[in-house]
Amino acid sequence: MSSPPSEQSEQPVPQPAGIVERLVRDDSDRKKFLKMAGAAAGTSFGAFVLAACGSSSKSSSSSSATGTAATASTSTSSSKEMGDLAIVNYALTLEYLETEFYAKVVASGLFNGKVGSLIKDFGRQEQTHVEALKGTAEKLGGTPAAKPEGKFPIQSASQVAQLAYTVENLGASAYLGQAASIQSPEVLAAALAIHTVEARHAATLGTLVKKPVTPNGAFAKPADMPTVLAAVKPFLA
Amino acid sequence: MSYQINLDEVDVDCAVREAAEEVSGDTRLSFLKKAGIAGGTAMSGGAVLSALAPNAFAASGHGRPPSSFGKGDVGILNYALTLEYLEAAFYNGATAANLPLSSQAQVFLKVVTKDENAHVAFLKKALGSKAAKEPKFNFKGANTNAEMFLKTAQVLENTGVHAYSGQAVNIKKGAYVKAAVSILTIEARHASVIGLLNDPSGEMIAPDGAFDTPFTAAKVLAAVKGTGFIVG
Repeated sequence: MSSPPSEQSEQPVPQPAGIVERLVRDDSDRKKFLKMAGAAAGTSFGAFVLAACGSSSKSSSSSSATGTAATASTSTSSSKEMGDLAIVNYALTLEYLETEFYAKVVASGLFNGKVGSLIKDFGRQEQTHVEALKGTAEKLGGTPAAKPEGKFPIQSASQVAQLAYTVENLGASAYLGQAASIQSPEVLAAALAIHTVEARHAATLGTLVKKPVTPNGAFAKPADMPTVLAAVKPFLA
Repeated sequence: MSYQINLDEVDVDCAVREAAEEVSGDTRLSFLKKAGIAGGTAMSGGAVLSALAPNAFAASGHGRPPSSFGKGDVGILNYALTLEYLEAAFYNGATAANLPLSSQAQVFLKVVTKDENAHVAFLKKALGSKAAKEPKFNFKGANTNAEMFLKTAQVLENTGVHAYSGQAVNIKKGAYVKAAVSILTIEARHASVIGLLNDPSGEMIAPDGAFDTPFTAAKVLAAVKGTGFIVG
């Protein structure tokens, strides 16, 4: 009576949560995974992200940053060239920053009680995303992006909560901006499993700071790479 | 940078042309029967919740919706539309019922009602003549009692997350992937908000932890059938 529809066709595609775990823990299906990942570029994207953000150069950073961002914009629109590895390392860089942000917020002692415990949970989940994405980058045959050095204004509880809301919304829109560009179903599944958790964080923080939980209405707005990198730039040390 | 989902991009009959096996709009009842989600036994209270409640285990595969929903991407969009019809009708009924809700829950109801109706409108327009018609629903009081409403809404929203994330990887056309993920993220936002409203400890903000879990269509449809909310 309540049995599933009989004509259901089960596709033998691996399920994403397992993929994430497998990517983190296990090397056994590396070969198959690499085959699916196709022509993922072997370069480390972390260097690119940092260059695009102009984090290290002091004098000529703005012009070179603009130039790199423009290049990124072009390749985002046809990001088959960029490859899944680049996208994974882009996400990894953002997750690193989020993790560091939450760690600093926790260390600040600005939040106690329920909100403090939420902040800790969110930070732990971002750290888990970092581990998963590092494993994914390695499974794709690449080098995980290096951990960037962040800097975050941490002044008051309300200011930090507002900043967290902004950061999580940015993270959610960054994943959304890459969803259609990811080639490997495994990588897409992993990205989506993370992406919705970013969205959950963002909406929860929205309730805390009394901002809209769906700031773009019924359809979330994606952000492309140059937009995200420009927004992230102030948070790179 | 302005962004909106472009209906010309996410359109209708061009992608739908790939559907050799058409789902014609005038066979709603048989369509739903084929899909196996009409005529479930009436359940109420906790039974509804346990039927829809996400299993702790991950989905066992990446099952697509049954072919009765249409072929390829059309089938996936019609599957999504059917779930959105259910959510929208549930919230429209709750809105009409003037439930005694907290001010936060009222805001939630207002947002989700608007969003889910927008999802229905979008998917209907995208599918054009291939859109599944709206089923008949009987929520058996689940949206006319404040407490049941809040609990059921949480389950429905999380089910939406499981369902969309289960299918996003099966979608072929990039524009549809964008649209589906754009909706998926909204379902996740709704789910976290109602999760926090119902459980101030915050445990239900992200009930699956750091990674949301995709469900096969078979699993979602079995759960929907189990509620008995769809009656024809």
